[in-house]
Amino acid sequence: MQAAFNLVMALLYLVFWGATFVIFYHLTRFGIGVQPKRFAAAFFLGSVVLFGISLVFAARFDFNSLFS
Amino acid sequence: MIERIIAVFRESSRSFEGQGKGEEVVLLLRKHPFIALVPVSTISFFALVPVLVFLIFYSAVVSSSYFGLILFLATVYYMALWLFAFYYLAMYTLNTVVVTNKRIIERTQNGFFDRQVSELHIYRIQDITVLVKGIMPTTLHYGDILVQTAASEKEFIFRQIPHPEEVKNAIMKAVSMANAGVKPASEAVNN
Repeated sequence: MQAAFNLVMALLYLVFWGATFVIFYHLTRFGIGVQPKRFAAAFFLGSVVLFGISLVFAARFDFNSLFS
Repeated sequence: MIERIIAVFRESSRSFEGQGKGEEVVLLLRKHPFIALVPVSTISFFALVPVLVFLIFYSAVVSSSYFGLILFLATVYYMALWLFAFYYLAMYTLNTVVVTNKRIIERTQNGFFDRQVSELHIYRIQDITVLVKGIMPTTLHYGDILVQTAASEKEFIFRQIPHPEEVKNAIMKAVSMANAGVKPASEAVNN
């Protein structure tokens, strides 16, 4: 069960970073002017912070405590 | 080095893909920020939901054996909201109208893999109509700009542009300068 949870978590993070890449790529590649670059920077920083927080909570979460 | 990186977020040459030699950007237009504010504020409302649930069911949530799982799921929920918010912001910022001294280029991004680029040579512009209709457009000063070329050709409509009167004047000025063979100065109506 723990392994299944880890797999689901890894898939979620993979989807998150995939979508982050697509948004970041579009903002930096096709954006004209300053605004898309600012959005891209804020988006990337926020994504890293959110991912970090999520990872901390995932690491602290004891999967076995659900069944005790 | 760091100053050069920071400068990217302060100033821009406003160059774009497919820009011709000697072609200068006169105006860079986007829809009024209010248009982006509607989906983003809806997402912000959804961001408050877990906070409200946590505050209402505080004692039950904290003492629950699922507390760790709830915290993890909340972060996943916020990650999804973050992606949705920036999806809408990206769509807003990638929909542009670029007025150069030679042509007008409209880039319409309807999704990540759905982009439409239309262009119109500036010397073909015959007349421009500004359309401000409704309470919000009148109050917030945004509206549609209809650019008419030769009678049989397609009419260009740039929707929800801020300060459409000023934009219309700037385009007309660019048209008259292009016809006279003078390069117009770049104007910062919207970055």
